[in-house]
Amino acid sequence: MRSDILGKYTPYNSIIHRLDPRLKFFALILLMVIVFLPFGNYTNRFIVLGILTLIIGLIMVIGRVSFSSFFRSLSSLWMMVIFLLIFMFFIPTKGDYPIYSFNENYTLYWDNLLQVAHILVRLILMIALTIILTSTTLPMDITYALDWYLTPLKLVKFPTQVVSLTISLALRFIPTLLNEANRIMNAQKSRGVDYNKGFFMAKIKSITTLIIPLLVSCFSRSDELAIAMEARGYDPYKHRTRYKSLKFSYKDLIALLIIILIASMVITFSICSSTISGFDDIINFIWGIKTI
Amino acid sequence: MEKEKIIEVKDLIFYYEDKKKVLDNVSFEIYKGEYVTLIGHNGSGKSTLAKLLSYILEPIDGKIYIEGEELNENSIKNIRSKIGIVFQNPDNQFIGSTVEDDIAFGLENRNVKQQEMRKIVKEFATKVGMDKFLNKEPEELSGGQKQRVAIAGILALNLKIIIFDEATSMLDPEGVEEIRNLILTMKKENPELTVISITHDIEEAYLSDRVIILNEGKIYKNDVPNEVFKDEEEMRKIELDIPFVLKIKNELSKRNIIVPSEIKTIEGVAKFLCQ
Amino acid sequence: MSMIEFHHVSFVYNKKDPNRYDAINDINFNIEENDFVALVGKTGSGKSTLIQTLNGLLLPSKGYTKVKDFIVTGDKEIIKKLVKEKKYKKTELKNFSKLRKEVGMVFQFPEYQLFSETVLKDVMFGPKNFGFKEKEAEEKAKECLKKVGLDASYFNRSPFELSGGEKRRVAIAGIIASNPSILVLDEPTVGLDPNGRKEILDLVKKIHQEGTTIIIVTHDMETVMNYANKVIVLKDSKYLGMMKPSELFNKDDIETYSLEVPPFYKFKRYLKEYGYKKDISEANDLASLINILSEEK
Repeated sequence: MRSDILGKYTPYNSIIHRLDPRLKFFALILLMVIVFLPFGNYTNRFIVLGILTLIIGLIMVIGRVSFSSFFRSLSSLWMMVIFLLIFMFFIPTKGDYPIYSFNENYTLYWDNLLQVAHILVRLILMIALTIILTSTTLPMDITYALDWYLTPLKLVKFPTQVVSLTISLALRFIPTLLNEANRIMNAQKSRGVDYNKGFFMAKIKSITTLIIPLLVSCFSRSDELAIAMEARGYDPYKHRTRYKSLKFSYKDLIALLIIILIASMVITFSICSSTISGFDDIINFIWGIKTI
Repeated sequence: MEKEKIIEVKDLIFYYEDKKKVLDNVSFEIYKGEYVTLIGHNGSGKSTLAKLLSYILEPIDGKIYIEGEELNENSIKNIRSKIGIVFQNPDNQFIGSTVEDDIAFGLENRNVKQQEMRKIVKEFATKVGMDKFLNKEPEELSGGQKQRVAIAGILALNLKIIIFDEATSMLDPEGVEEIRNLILTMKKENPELTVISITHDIEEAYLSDRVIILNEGKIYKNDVPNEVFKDEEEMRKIELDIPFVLKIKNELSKRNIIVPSEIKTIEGVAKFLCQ
Repeated sequence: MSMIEFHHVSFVYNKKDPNRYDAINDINFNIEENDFVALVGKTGSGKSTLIQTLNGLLLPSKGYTKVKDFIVTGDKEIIKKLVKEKKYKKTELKNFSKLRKEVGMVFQFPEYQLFSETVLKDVMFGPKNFGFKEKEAEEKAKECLKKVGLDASYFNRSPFELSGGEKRRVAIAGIIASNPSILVLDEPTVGLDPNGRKEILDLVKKIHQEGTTIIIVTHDMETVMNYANKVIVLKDSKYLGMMKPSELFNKDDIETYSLEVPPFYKFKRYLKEYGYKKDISEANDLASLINILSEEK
């Protein structure tokens, strides 16, 4: 039984799937940085983020990323939203547009609410970007890409191959260990453990019934794995050839150009945004409605 | 024809912390191109012997020679390039993230060129019947299929010796059958290949060239299968069963129906009886 | 009333996904008290899924599993009906702790469920969860450890320093210590050598003789032949039937069940195939078959 993991690779053959993983990795980092750039006032911020949302949404459609699993992953953000709102409620920062004033030292501001919304949109876009990468790229290819980016470190004798092999082994064993965890949980449930019930101490106790056996099994697995690798002639400090290599094709070049174009436009906008005054700030608008 | 010794085990002694001898003066030879099975009940010392042969453990006393070279810390790297091992747990020896990556793992370690590697991987995946699964991840494969991938990874290295360390004990009957047959075809295609199988599958032992039985740390028998399994009573004493074909043959011979010793399968006996 | 009843039980994994997978499909049969039933079928035929509905680890997507008076189902229609008829309360249908005391379940590689500092504590863990008092649980644990062949010298040892076979026996003791009336075992002998296998199976037999209903999932037809009094075959998520083991292996269309036939029955089939003249269909063990074979020649 294959377990359903968030953002798991889906074996379609879209153009996004076929792009060079190094490019995808680069694009991911670049777009993440862009999402976190400052854009002056709230109107600017939401216009840029809106455009980025459209672009990222388009990429998700092309890459056939499952929207349902994406939205499911967002459900965990609720905790974050509540946390931010509580934070905002108890430690309100000063703003220009008050919603309600309880007394003279305690006022809630629109600014804070928009701030929360802004953080949220950024997080959602980050999650979307990560899911695009993981669901269109084989874990192994991500490792290859990472390894490629680490290549310069070889000059200072950094064991890049060891790092990338370790990551790929970890990825390879995730489903195996999930199955194992599932089996152990079932066994313990059959012995009367209820993982959902109970308060703090009871929870900790029921978790130990899973963690200890899982660790024991992990250790014995890693032991056997190490022996098997050695038996097949693995030596971490010797040069190894690669079965797969990455090819950078003209498709990747075009994609790279598009990404750089978008990025440079957004970055330019970000730099100029402090001086752009053509837009009336959204917050003024809301404030305007309220005062009417 | 003079047989060429490929493995020589001499006066091997081994014990763990409790000083109880697990292996007590074990000596035997294995010749080039042989298919030898090593059997024995739990605690007979066979899994310890497997660990010594693959240098996971070091002997307390005695020596192991591979092609005349003593197995020790200095020679192990060179010897690893001659011996491949298929282990018991199919999951814990699947290193690559897909079938082809796993077959290629050993080749990568040997710095085989990429172009060549692709050809070799394809060729040996086909040999073990896994060529349609090159892109599959381990989670999508059965235990038997994973073991076949492990075998392909070893065959691809063109080694002289393959050790099967209880490679079928965690498989379902279908998987056991797959591996049993694969060993036999492998041997047929490459008679030079030496196969040592540590197993508790007596049916497999019966199909091999020679059977070594370990009992309480000592070699109890070392002969061709028909001889080794001759006496059912004696086998029972050391907690081993005999292959079913032999049971039929023994029962029949008690009633004066002698089945020729070349006939080694149940099907063969049935056919013989119907003539 | 039967001990266990399966009523149109189906289970679907990833219902709304392209990876949708019907693990079991419309299963109907009953198991009687004190049966020793073997559940067989190829890997992926749905055996493990089916037994997990017995103690509520999985809830049937359609239909229901009835164990004694307990009902296990995730079928909303059935739940609605049962609640409406006032037979069950909704909370009763969602709480499986009493059921899990009745149905002991031993999973594959049960050695990977041990976690306590001592063997005795580990065996006491289940009974204590099910409401046994400390003293009672200890008594029961000691009794069960002896039953699985581990004497008092084992009680205070760490379970992690035991051998594989011993660990497995500790795990089984941990299940039977809760005094279940049904014991379910999912391939309890995988990875063991023939002697280890026999030890575990003889133990199960002993537990059966003391009045426990046994359901064992297995690939090993020798186990089926030598231990079970009934065998249930699943194939491609469907129920093919329940019968005596000898009846199953003598079937003419046994190939269609995708099972590994024990060598004795293989031999019989080959004899038939090559046109053996005398009637051998009555022979169900080697001795009687040899008798028939030797009479003629």
